[in-house]
Amino acid sequence: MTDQHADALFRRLAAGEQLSESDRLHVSECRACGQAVAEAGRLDGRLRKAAQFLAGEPLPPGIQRDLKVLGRPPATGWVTAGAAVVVGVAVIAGLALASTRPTGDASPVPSTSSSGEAAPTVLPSPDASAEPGDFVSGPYGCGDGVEGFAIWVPSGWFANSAHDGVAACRYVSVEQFNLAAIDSPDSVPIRFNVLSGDFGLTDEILERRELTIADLPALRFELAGVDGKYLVYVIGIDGQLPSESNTSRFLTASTAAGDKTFDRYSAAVEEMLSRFAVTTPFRTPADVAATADDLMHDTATCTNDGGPFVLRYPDGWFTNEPAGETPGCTFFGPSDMSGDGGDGLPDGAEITISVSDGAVGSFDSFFSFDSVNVGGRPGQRTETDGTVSGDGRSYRYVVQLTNQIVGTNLLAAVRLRDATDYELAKAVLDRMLDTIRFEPPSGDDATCLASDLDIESGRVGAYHGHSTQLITLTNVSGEQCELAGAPKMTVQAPSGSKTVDLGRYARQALVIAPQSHATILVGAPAACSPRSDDVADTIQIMINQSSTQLRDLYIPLTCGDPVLLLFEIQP
Amino acid sequence: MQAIGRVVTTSDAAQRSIETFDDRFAAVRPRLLSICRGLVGPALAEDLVHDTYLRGRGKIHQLRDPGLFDAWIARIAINLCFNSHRRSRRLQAREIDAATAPRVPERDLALVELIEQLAPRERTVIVLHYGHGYPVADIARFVGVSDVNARTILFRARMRLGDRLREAEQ
Repeated sequence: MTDQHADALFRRLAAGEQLSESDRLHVSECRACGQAVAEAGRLDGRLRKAAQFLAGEPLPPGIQRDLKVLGRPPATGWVTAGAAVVVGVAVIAGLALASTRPTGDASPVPSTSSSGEAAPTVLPSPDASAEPGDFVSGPYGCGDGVEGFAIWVPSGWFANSAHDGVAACRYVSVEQFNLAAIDSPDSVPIRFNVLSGDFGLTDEILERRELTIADLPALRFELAGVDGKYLVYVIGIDGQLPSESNTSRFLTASTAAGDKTFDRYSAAVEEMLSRFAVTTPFRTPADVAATADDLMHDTATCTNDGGPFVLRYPDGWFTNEPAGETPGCTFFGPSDMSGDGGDGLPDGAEITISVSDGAVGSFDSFFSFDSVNVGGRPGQRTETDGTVSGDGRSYRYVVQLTNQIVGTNLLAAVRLRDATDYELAKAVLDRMLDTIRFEPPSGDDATCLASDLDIESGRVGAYHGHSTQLITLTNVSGEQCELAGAPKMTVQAPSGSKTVDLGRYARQALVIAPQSHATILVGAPAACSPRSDDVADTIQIMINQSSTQLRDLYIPLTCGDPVLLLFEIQP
Repeated sequence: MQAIGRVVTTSDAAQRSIETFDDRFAAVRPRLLSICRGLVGPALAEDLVHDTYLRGRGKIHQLRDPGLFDAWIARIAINLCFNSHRRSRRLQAREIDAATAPRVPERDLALVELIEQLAPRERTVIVLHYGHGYPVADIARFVGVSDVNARTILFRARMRLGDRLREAEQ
């Protein structure tokens, strides 16, 4: 019976109950019960040791603060609608922001404008590769290039540099600080953050004012936190205040809580916002590429009869109709091209794609120079500074529509001066040219007939892991002629006939001048195990419905099927 | 002239977040694995960390301050650990790391094993409270239950452990 009492007492204590007066009396007369009470008292210590053994890694700093986990301002108790976190017993203050618009009758504090003398002197954003301890010291126009805003860091204050995904100008302190050490936002007296969606406040609102900052709607709250009074600004940086009905971004500027520090920090925040401005966020190349990909997700098709070529362009963009000597599908841009934009371009044209005869070159300095293949044609892509030509910075493709530089070329270009978004226009041009199709074959050259070409077998060799057989086509017609693509070919081997895979050369046009040679390099994988003796010794070449056969070749097929490795004009 | 269709834009910030998520997750993964092992044991930890990856990647746009990534993703992991009873009640004894085990007195090692036999929710609360030192109210917020519920889970687990401990030691 005594043991049962002891067990029951232990269980109750383990379950969190306290010893009652009658328990104490009982324990004084029950030795087993006394031991049970002692064991229960030691249970916490034992649990601590055992659980610490299991705990493994310490949890990351900051997780103990729900508010901080979602990146909210320090010690303010923000609640973002839809967030998974429920913050204790949140006292939503009934802001009814969804229907609230700034009335403007409150005195704007700070009263600023995005223009005029109050505009910030924004210096370049602090280096994104900065060390965690890097910071900028005021006076400084500090720009957050990610979200696109700038604040003023007064003399005697320090703001963080961008580091490891944390944007610049988010933390401002009177002391130099290490970004990596900001585990407790309370240690940084002023913090800026960009959120979106609706919000509520968990602390008592002492004062609420509506105002405009840099012509943007804003709210100013004085709140009573557990640790004292603090200030919060909400600025609708997308032009509207947060509400349930929008997902606009808003900037929060908040001070650490404290009755003694309130006046000082409030004055500092207001000085920082006195030169607040919305800026253009910077983008990474990946951002630009993603936007261009999105634009090219839905496309329209147009044909340029001057090329001629067919390509696709963003469905939301504009292109020109034929007018005079200018074929349609020459100019492209995101806005309607009505009117003359000067310089031979219609207003709004950001990309120009045309065909011209003659040599193409540039005396401008190159930022980049790449060899490219556009629609099966070789070409070059350059970016130049445009100082000599007077074009300004330009991004150009020159694509050979014949096999000679001094011939017909496709020219495609974006000029910085024409583009509202130069980098995006470049990325869109890249994608448009990926879709280009030249048809029928360009130029006035006659199509090569089998009788125009002398076909000879050449050396046996090796190329890129393949056994190869060289074949030479010589134009013996006396007139320049063109092959629209590599000729279809079939090899004959003991195992049967096999078609040569032409790959990308199927649509590679070649213009062959009189007495010039085109090279065909047919091959098959050279190494494998086990080996056999399946060797093709004959090839059938189809040129414009005429078939030519070559014998006494050596194309081993033991390791794979035949492929076309090269199809080009011999230099 | 023609203008058809709609230009689709994406959030630069969201795009950046997704691109950096994988890198940041890879860096924090060992830590998450260790935390989850402690909370639910090695049998479930790998799966839960993988679930954390999937959940985090889908919700990365909710993280407004990238500097808090570690705390944010750890919180997701803890939540999943806490709720892991929904996916499996299968529990296996934790394999004690030979290098670490001798540091723990044998008597406490018995308690370690008893904790490992608790249901995941109870074990998570015990480890968070006694192992990581979090108040019950904080744990309640981590795992999305009321303070009362968290306290009930904690004391029920304590009672169960106490019972088994006394049974084992008598």
